[in-house]
Amino acid sequence: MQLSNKRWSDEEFFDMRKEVLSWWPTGKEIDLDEAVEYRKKLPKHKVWADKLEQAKKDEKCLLYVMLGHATVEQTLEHMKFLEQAGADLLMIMPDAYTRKRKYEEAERGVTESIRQGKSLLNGYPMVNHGVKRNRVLTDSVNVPIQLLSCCDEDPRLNHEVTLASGFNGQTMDLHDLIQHCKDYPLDKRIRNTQYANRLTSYYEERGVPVNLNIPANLCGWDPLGMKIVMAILACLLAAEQGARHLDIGVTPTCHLVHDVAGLKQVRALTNEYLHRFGYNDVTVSVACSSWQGDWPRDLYRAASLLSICASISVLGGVDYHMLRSVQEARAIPNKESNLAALRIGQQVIATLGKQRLSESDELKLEQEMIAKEVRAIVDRVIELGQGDIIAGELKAVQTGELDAAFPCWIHVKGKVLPVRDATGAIRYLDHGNLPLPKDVIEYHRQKIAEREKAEKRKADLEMVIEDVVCISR
Amino acid sequence: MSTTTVVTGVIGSDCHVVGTTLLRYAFEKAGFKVVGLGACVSQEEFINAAVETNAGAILVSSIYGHAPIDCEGLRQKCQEAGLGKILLYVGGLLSTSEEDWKDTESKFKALGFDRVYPPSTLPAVAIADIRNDLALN
Repeated sequence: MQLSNKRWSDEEFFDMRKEVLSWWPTGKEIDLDEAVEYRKKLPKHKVWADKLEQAKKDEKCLLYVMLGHATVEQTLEHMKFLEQAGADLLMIMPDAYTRKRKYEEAERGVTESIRQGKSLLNGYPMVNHGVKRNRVLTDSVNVPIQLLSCCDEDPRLNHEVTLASGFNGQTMDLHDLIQHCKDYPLDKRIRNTQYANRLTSYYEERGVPVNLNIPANLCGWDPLGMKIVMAILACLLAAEQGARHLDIGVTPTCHLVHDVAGLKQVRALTNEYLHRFGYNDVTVSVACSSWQGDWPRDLYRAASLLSICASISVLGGVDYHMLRSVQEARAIPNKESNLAALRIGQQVIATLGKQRLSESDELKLEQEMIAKEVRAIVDRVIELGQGDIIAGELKAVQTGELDAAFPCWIHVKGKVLPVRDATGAIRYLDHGNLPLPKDVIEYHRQKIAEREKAEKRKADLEMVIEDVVCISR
Repeated sequence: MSTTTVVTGVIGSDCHVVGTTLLRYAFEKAGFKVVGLGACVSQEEFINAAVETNAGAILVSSIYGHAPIDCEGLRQKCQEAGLGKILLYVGGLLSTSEEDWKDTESKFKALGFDRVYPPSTLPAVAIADIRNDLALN
C-alpha cells in the first residue's frame, strides 16, 4: 500500500482488521455493529461531544482527571469516587505494557496485583480485561470516559477495544514516536494511526461521536509552536480518515502570556489548516493540561503548580482543563491525591469564572510570532510532500525540518534545545534545522539575550539543565 | 588518569529520556566517556554495553513506576557477566505507590544498587558521588 494521506477503502481496513483482532483473545469479542448500537444507547450525559458542546455554549471550563489501575475493581472504585466529587470527564491511562503491546506482561501484572491486593501496574490494561469487563466502567459511571488509546508504537488493538467499550480515544503518530518510542519506523506508525482514525470514522459515520485526544506535549519543554505543529499534522491525518471530534490538549510552559497566546493560536491555526484541506465539518476543542515537566515532591508546592496551570486554562479560554495530581512526583495518583487536584481545579474555576486574559501588545506579539513559527513549519511539510502531509512528514523528519528537544525516538535529529528567557517563556537556544522565519529566530535570540544580560552569563547547556529542574527544585 | 566510562539509559519499557539525556550531557562535560543507551533499555543491553566498554558504572533512570520489577536481578546478571564490582546507580520516580524515601532507597540497595536518587536530583550530585566511589579524587 502506497503511504499517503488518503482515506482507506473498506477493503483495506477490514483486511488489516482480521490480523489486529487476533493479537489477544479479547479482540475476537469485538463486533463493530454491536458496539455502534451500544454507544448509540448511551445517555447524553455520558457522551463527551454533547457535554463539551454544552460547556462551550455556557463558556464553562470543564475538568478532567486521569487515573488507571491494574484491575477493573480498583479502577471503578477510583472513578466512582471522582464522579461523586464532580469530575466532568475521567481519563483512563493504559499501563506501560499495554501501550507497548506486551499483553502477556500486562496479564502477569494483573495476576500479581490481585495476589498482592494493590496495583502493580501504572495504568489500566484494557485489552486484557476486554470489552465486556470494560463496559462495567462505562455502565457504572455517570460521566464520559476517555482512554489514551493511541500511545506508543502500535495502538491498533488498544483503539479497537477502547471504542467498543464505550470510551473516547486518542490519535497521534510522529508526536508519540518522539515522546514514547525508541526505534519504530515512522511509516509503520502512520499506518497504525490511519487504522485507528479509520476505525473512529466507522462509528462517526453511523451517528456515534467519538472524541479523539490529540496531544500537543512533546517532552514538555519544547517551544509552544512545535507542539502546535504536531497537533495540526495529527488533525489533518485524522480528518482525512473521517474522524470528526478532535480535542487538542496543549501542555503549558507555565508562562501566562506565552501560554495564552499558544492556546488562542492552536484553535485558530488548526481550523485554518483543516479548512484549507477542505475538512469543514470537524469540531476542534482545545484543552490545556497541567505542567508536564519535572514536578515538586512537596505536596503544597505541587498543589500550587496545579492551581497555576488551571488558571492558565481559564484565562486562556480553553474548553477543558486536564488535571494531574498532587502526587505527580511521588507515585501513580491514588484517589485522595486526585480529589485534592480536582478540588484545586474547581476552586480556580469558581474563582476566576469567566475572566480571560485581556488583549495586550505583548499577547498580540506572542501570537504573531507563534503563528509565523507554526505556518512556516507546516507549510514546509506540505511543500516537501507536494501537498501530501504524510509524504511531507516523512521527508521533514529526515531533513530535520521536523524536530524536537530531548526525543527518545532515535530517528529524529534532536537538535532543538529550549531555554527560558528573562521572564520564563521557552525559546529556541538552538532550533536545529527547523525552517523558522528570520524574524522569529531573531525574536527568540533577542529574548534569550535579555536573560543573558540580566544574569550576566551566556545561555548554555548548564542553563538548559537548570531550567529543566527550575520548577521542581 | 584514564577516562572512566559510564553507561546511561532508561530501564524497561520506559521512554522518559529528559533526565538520562541531561545526565549524558553533564557527565560528558565532567570528563567521563558516556555510552548513552537512551529509552527502553533491557538489563542485557546495559550489561553488554558495560562489558564492551569496560565501564565503571551503570546509571539507570526510571520514571514510570515499574523500576522495582525492571531492576530485579540486574546485580546478579552483572556478576554472571564478570561485572561483579561495577557501580550501579538508579534514580527517578521509583515506585507506583506513595512510600517513604528511606523505604524506596533500602529496597533498591537490597537489589544491589550502590546509590539511589529521588526525582529532581541534579547531575552534579551523581558526578560527585561517582568520583568518591571510584576514588577518582
